[in-house]
Amino acid sequence: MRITISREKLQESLSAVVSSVPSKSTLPVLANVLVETVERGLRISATDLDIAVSVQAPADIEVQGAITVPARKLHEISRELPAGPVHLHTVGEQRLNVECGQSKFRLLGLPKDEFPAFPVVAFGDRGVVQSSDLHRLIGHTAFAVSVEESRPILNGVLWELGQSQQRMVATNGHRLAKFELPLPQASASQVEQFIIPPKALEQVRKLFPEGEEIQLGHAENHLGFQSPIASVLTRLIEGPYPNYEQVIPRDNDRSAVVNRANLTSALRRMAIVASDQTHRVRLSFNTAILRFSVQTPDLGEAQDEMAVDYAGDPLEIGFNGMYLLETLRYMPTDEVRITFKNPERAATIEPASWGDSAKYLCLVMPLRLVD
Amino acid sequence: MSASDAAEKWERLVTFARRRLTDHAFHSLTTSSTPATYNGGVLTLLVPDYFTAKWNEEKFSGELASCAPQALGHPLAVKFEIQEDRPQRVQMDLFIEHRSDALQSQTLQRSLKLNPRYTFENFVVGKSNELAAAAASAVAEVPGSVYNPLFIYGPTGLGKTHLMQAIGHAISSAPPGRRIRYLPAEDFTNAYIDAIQHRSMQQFRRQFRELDVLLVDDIHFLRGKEATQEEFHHTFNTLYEAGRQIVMTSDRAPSEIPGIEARLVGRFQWGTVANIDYPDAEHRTAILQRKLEAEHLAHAIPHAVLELLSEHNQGNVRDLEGAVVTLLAFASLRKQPVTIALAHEALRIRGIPLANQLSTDGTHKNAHPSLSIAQVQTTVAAIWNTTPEGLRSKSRLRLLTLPRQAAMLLCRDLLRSTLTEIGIAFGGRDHSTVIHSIQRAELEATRDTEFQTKLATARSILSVVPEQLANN
Repeated sequence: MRITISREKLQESLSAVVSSVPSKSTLPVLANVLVETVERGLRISATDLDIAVSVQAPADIEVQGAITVPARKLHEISRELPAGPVHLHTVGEQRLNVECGQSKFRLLGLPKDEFPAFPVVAFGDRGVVQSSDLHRLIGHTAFAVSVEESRPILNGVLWELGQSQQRMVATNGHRLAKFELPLPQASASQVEQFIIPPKALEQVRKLFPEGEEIQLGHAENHLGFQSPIASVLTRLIEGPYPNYEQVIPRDNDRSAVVNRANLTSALRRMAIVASDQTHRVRLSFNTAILRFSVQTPDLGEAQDEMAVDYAGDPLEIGFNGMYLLETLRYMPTDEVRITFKNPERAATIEPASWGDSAKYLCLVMPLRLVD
Repeated sequence: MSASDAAEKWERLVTFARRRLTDHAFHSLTTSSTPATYNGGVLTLLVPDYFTAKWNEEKFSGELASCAPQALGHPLAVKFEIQEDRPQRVQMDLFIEHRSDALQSQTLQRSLKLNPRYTFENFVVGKSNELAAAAASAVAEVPGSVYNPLFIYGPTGLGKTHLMQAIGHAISSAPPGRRIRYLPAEDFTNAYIDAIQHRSMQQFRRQFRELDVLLVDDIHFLRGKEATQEEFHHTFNTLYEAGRQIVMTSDRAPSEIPGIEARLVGRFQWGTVANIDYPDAEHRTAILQRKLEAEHLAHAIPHAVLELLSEHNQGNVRDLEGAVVTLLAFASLRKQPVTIALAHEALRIRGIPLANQLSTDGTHKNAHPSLSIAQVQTTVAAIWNTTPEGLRSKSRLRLLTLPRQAAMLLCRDLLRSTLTEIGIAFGGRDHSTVIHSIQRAELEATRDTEFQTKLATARSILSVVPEQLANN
């Protein structure tokens, strides 16, 4: 292989994929990126066996070929090279020369055949999605997944493609986020569900800027996202996803409308002395006023209050302050509506007065207030 | 011991199942589940919460059950239960029901520790148990009113616990929420002893006297335990006087349980005493049928084979069901469909006696060539100091019925004679009389040590020197 590529493009491409390189793996080749010539330039790929990403950059090809080289090293080299065109050429199957101006590097790698083959995913018959839609969906839900091992299905984000709408749902069992967007035309005749590791969605967000059309491909246990210059392929998590509709409360009869910024700052103050384990904050709703209190043995306590639009019966309810803060962070409006039933049922949080065609709903389960 | 059994079976099962599951699934299954007990063909695993229990149940129970015949050599059902002693977390969960919900009955059911298969739907009613079944149903409908207390007795393995737990299931799943408790008498005794040691009698009494329904299994266990009987007596009175339902089971009728205070015996009989007896052949077939249906194996065993099993296995229901399980495992291992021939083979290999195994020349295969019914009668008569004629006579003097029953038992065991043959040889008795006599003999052997000794003596004489007998 012999090619010439701009330093910026090389660095950009490597930056895009290097986060998919596993930091430790028993398979040595996974620490490498696959560098190969394609029709219009160079393709650089990385994988951790669950997720595979690749990006393409324009380059002048003199001789076709491919090789794998240590990802991080090549990335660092591309950052530190002087300005100007970079020449890459392979020597044999395992050596890559990197030259730019007077700087010359030779890296030892592994032959291209050692790089794991990507599962074949058929693109084109699954339709397209808008990257902007994906950004919105992912951005409002992926934060809510579970990071524990106890319920692996909750480690993934559910992506549901329906007739006239699509949604993403993520939950860790204690809080849930659901974001829904209308679909201009039905992409498939029936509802499709994919449970996607959030790491893959993160790559999707990074590699596909807004405003692009992304092709979808699906093969048994894998889902592929593809644009002319990038692709993300991920293993899916085996379902079925728990019935989240069932846990969405329909009979919450008390509601409050709260200023998001004020609520956030009050909760951040309370969080300082809240327990490290449970982050418990007691909220006390009364007519037009919301009181906060925290009591942590061996640490201290705190109180605060703020005005709130609430007209229901007095309610005392406990929450993990962190869950509330995270949820508020992703709310798109200045005011949020929170609904309750009683201190033992899930509370809902939604944007208030939002004129968007999207629908956004979050749930947070309370903490027991043991007295 | 059941717990280490469970661990061992689990180990073997998952090792086998590994190849059928994805790495992810395998990991999720094994990290979430801890083997707890293995009883009656059911392996129970503990999981941290309801969500995991449901998840594992749906995703893995079927797969694991299908692996069992190959992995373990016998069928097995896998159940996931919630580890009850985990402290309630402060953070409540979207997918785990809260205790104070109307779904409290589920928690109640789980805490009752009832076998989910012991329901009224799964109980096959026949002549031998219809009274007990009817009474149990009535109690489940309206506890505390008509059949109180309800005392069900009978030989082991015939469904007493099944019926009692069916009452438990029915009452706990129907509103209003009744305070119900099921436990073997042994547990009651242990709880009582605990309460004394830990000075928690008040709590103990609250637990057992503030109930709407109390179900106590194998009450004969209280035999000889004076202090526990005293306590039970008071518990009984408190509940009875408040119109609360008490149900008890035992291996024999109240008046026949040794070592129970008279006043308790009296109380056992204050309501309804119902007995469950051995099922007849038709009933046995129905039971087997129901077992198969419950396991979704309705077409696995042809009716003719079921009848064969019923006819030749006059043991209790557990034995019957065991025979089915054995047969299915055998068929699965051999990869053959179940036929009469296979049934004969399987049961013989497993040492389950199948009478009427005729060899080609018409003689009984397992019988000792020179031992005859006459010899059995002679030997037994000698040991019991009576005559073979007496055994064959119609007399119902206890002097004669006891050795007669013993002799019939030995004829069945040692000669593999059919019931009809035995009946004819003992003065033209009906084969159902023969069944009854043999059962009485078995019962007597468990109660009366003198009878047991004599029986053993006869058995050893008849097994050892038949040629010498022939000469006598």
